[in-house]
Amino acid sequence: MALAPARTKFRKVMKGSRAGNAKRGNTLAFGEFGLQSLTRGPMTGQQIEAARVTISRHLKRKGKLWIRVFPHKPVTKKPQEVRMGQGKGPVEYYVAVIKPGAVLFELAGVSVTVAKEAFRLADAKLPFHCRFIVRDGAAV
Amino acid sequence: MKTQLTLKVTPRTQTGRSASRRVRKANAIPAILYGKHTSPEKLSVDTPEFVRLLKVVSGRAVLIQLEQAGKAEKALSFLQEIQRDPITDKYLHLDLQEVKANELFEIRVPVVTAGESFGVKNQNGVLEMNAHLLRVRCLPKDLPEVINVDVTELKVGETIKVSELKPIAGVEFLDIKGQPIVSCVEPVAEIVQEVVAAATPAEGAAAPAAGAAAPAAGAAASASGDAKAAAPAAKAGAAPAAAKPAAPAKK
Repeated sequence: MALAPARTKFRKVMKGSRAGNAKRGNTLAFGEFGLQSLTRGPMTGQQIEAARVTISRHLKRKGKLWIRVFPHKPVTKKPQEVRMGQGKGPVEYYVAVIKPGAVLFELAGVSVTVAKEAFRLADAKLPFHCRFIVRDGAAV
Repeated sequence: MKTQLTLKVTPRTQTGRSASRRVRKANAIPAILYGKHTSPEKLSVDTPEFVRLLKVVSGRAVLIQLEQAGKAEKALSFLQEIQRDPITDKYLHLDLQEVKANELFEIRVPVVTAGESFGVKNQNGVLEMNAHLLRVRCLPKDLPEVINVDVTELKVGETIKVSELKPIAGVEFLDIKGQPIVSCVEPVAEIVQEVVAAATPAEGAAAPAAGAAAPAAGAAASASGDAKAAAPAAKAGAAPAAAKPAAPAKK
């Protein structure tokens, strides 16, 4: 099941801006290792879930995973074969707006090689260029 | 306080974004030194020298002596904040806080776990760090580089809190006593979401009915001879068509 907000203040929102780099959520807050985005774009709830499943399957019930992003933004889509006009379409899915520098996932309690491989597999599910980051002073 | 590190600094006069950029372009890092008894002083630090210093520091709380040309006295300080670019990892700015040798000061000291937890070793648990840094108050001579926490006895479901730490001579822990530092938790089982193959009978019956509605509507439109009517008929929704099953189509 893809991540989505339980309830929202407004059903539909405007496209908004994706300019600039991540000013918040750009450092490791919980774990020792992290997956940091280097490019920008929307990250759907399905992509977050796919990456989470990939990581947790690779870890084999070891370690602890933090998901640092949440898809707050609704994306609408008009049904197929419908003419333009007649208002905005219904909400199709939710996305997290990712800017360069945002930390997407964090891991702790596993070795660096396991964490690196888990994030490499997760990165393949994501529409971003990502990199592996390590907390300063962590035992590597 | 075992390690005494020295860092060469040079004073700078210009401030602001442009001046700081010029400093960074000259392979240096803009910095500031402030303290309780001195007025803030703008400095710049040579980047390669600072990188070498950081490698020596490597996740410990240490005091640094600042060596400034023209000043006989070396200022004792610690790194209060290091600003880095989150993408390029370049150092943007340093905050150095001056301390006096005979005066208590507050600093955040890294926590390091010692040993392998019983819970991790035997109970398939996961060691979770709840606090990576702890605030302490001490004299510069008593400053611990790291706070060692022995986790060998830690079982699954147990937590080591600030109140359970071994007291260090001359060091006062400032965090609240109940603040957890390390805990051993059970690994979270992967949530397997199986797709339900057989839907409930009511839903199962509704789906084919709705599917059948579209051809019925299309047939009705073609019977009337108006091709454009097909779209509104489909738009009218499956519910009315489903309510009146295929009766117009038979005509």
